[in-house]
Amino acid sequence: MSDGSDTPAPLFEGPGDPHPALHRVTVQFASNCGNEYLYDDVTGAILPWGALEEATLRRELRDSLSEAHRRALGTADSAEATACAAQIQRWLVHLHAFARPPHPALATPAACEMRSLVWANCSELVLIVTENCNLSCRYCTYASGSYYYHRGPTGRSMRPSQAVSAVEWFLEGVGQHVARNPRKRYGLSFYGGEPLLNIAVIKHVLEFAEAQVPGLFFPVLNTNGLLLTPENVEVLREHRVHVAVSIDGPQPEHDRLRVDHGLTGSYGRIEANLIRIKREHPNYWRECLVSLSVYDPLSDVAAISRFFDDGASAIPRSAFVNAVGSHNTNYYGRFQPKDYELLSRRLHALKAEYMRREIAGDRVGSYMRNLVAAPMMLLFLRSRIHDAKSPFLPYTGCCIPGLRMAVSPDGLVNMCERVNGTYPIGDLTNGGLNYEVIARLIREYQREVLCNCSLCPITRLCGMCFSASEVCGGVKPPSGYCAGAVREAGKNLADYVSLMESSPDAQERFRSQTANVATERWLFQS
Amino acid sequence: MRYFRLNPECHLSAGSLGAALYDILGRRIFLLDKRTHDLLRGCETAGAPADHLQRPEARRFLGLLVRLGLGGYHPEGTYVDKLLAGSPLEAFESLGPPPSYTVAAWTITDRCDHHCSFCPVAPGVASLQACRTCVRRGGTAVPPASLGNPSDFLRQLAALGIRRLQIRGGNPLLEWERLIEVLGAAAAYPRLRVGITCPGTGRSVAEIRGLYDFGNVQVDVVLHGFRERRDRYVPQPGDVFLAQCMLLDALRQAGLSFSVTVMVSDEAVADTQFALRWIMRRWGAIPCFAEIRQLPQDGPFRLMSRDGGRRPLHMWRDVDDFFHRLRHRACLDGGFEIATDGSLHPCAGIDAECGRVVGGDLGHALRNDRLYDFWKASKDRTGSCRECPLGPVCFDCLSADLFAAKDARMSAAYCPVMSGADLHGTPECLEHEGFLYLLGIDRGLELCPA
Ligand code: SF4
Ligand code: SF4
Ligand code: SF4
Repeated sequence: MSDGSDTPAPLFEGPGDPHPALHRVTVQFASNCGNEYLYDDVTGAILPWGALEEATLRRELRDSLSEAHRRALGTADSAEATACAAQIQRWLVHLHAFARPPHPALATPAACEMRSLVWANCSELVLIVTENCNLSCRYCTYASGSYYYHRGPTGRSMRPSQAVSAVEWFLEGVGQHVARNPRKRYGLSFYGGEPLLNIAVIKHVLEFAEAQVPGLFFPVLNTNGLLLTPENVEVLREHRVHVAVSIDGPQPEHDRLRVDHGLTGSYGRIEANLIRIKREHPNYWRECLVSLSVYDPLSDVAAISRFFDDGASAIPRSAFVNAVGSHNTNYYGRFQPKDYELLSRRLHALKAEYMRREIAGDRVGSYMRNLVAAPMMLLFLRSRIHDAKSPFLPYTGCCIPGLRMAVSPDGLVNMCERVNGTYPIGDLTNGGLNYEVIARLIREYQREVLCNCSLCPITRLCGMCFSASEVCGGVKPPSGYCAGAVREAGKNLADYVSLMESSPDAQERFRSQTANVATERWLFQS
Repeated sequence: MRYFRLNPECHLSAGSLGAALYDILGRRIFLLDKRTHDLLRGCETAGAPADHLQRPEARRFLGLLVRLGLGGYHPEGTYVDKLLAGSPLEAFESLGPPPSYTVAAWTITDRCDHHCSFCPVAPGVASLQACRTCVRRGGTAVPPASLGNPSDFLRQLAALGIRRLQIRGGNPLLEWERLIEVLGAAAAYPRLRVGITCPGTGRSVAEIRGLYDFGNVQVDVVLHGFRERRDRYVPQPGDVFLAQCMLLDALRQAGLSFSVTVMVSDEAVADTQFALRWIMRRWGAIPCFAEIRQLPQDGPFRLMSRDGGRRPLHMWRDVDDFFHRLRHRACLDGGFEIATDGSLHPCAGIDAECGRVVGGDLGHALRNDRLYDFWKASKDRTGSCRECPLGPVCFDCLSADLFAAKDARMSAAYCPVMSGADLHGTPECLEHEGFLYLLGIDRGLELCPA
């Protein structure tokens, strides 16, 4: 029985309390077998959490205590209650865990600070070498017409001189930071439309970079794979370009979604290219080629997973699997409730299969891992208390605009290739980056998106960013996003600890697997 | 059924030399005997309690741990996610933030005007804290490699963020023109402090004082040892020591900053307490003692810096510091040495080559992982320390660790733990500030004598 004498005094002492009212930012959840946990967004830690811990924390934070909480405090063994209070106090004092001040004033970005901030932290130059494509995929944000507010095909392509000036401009910007960090490397990503339609420019840029700054760039290309001709592959191979080929699954799946302008499926032609690459350049195929896939409610994810599991095929291992974009689109209007139910059943079964294999230590295929285990791996990698976040954008997954620079054929610079293009952050034909604009965009994001995030218990897990919050003429999180994100985070946390509970060495396996995931996520920025 | 688990903020560390439990937030360390460690390891990993857990003594002991705030009882299978300061995967290096370079040593010459018996370092000689000395790495003097134009080289050092450049030799004062050129180039960077590690001879006192005119310069004088113990030490005319004394007297009088390193060679080892008092009285400075010792064939061997044979331990500052120490080497982190031939080393005391400055391009030498591997070489770099649970609180000169791990005579003098002291049985061998406890199923909790 606990009594006042052996219970440490609450930390926050009533009137005159130097601590402002704090807002609790934790998620309580239970694993599959019913064990209870607490995720703390201040530290990013996950703690075993029972009734006594909950009641003690509430008392420390001077939250209301229910009858059940009082009972938990009253019936606990006194040594345990004292130890629990002491532990929670240590977390509060040393780590400021569990709660934070609501609505703190966020650092206000000024244009003059942006220049060094952006160039010191930027990681990638994306060259949109063409705004044309030789396919007409049904879900394309760009060409399908299903996405509002998004840039579309223009027919424009970059000229070699333009591309080289973009690289020179980038090198000038990062120059002093490369001197500061001799091991620094940057992504150099060729994007489109279909970038291989402009192989001449790709080749020109690769040769220029190799001659000027050998080894400084990791070249990366996202392609639909139709133009992986022997000549083009030779260029890519010579410069060790990492290539992500979009493949949505076996022929019927792929051809349902990825069709050309004549609505003919593209699978056969791409596969023929991949078979040839694997035969002629097996090392390059293995080391530098991966697949990117998307799925929609009609995708048979189990069949696709088996397809990627086939070790004999020439389809590169899966590196990313995403659902068809659901923001600002009418794409999903075509599906019936039964389609969603079917997908949900399929995903559920695949997750069960994944858990079974992971726990048994059996092999898990790349597609299955990326589809169902990616959220768990990201939880394993989640940021912790001392991982630096910009004081301007302390919440959500948003990065400072300018850390990636996507240059389009007209010389405009966007913060990444996914944004809709209506709010460029610079213009290479007119002075480069516009730091005023970058500062203004951050302020707008702070005002429109981050306004309530200080109260949110999952800011370290939230994937919100500019592109995910675009609305006509600005940013705003889609309605219901935050509640859904918190629910989703709770489920993912439960899956994660359930896996850790049932497989003591899962932690170690995750460590080795996620190294890859982290690298590829960075390389292909998916 | 409820099971005992250590709290997330507790870190269990064990090797063949012993076991310890770290309370990261409470800033306490508990040395564990094997049986106790096995019990706790079992609690950490096993799904179900082993038989011995059911024994009353084990339950009593776990009750003590609960009271100490080190663990608690949880439902079966509970996963305890350990507290971390950062994401468990370091971003792959070239993507992460720049390494924080802080200090560069530049050995500009192997020439010297003295013939100290211990220099250059011969194989089998232990040189502790060589980074503070002018002792040469061995071999004969090589003509200095051209590192290009000094101002260009200084620009590269400054661009890396280096805050302190330590110019050393041999005797760098013998490369006077070059030294002047380097100091002139360094003066363009007001935030860069320059130290000159030298015997303080070969140039007049006035000339050496003149070096301070470049601003941000400090002369670090290496005394070759006190060979005679007298109540009143009187430097003899004509001896090197007299010249060094005159320089230091002049610097003291002029109110200029300087430091003193005393080489503790086999001849001078007995004089260290005397030297400490004498130097403090005369120049108001606490000297650094850098030992350079030939290990005896047989007979006892004692290191001056381990007087009393105790191993000093240091508490971490905060959570971040604790995790940093798990992964980084305090004395090397942020530094490197460029040797006379342009080769790059973690420090002047370590021979391993981590790169080479070619054509004056320092960036080229730093563009591989070898140097950073040394920075990250926490205690796991040396065989013995890898087996020791005290790594995060024990930091010392890595070159000495490496040497001690290879040679039983040195390890006996250098670290009682390394040479087999039973951590649980004889904790008097550890020097700490009251944060170290003994914890065991049988003995309960005891504070280690501090
Ligand atoms: S879920 Fe919503 S409130 Fe929470 S961090 Fe993300 S955007 Fe902010
Ligand atoms: S030097 Fe330190 S880490 Fe190495 S064995 Fe001795 S006490 Fe342990
Ligand atoms: S290992 Fe560390 S203490 Fe020893 S000489 Fe090198 S830098 Fe100095």
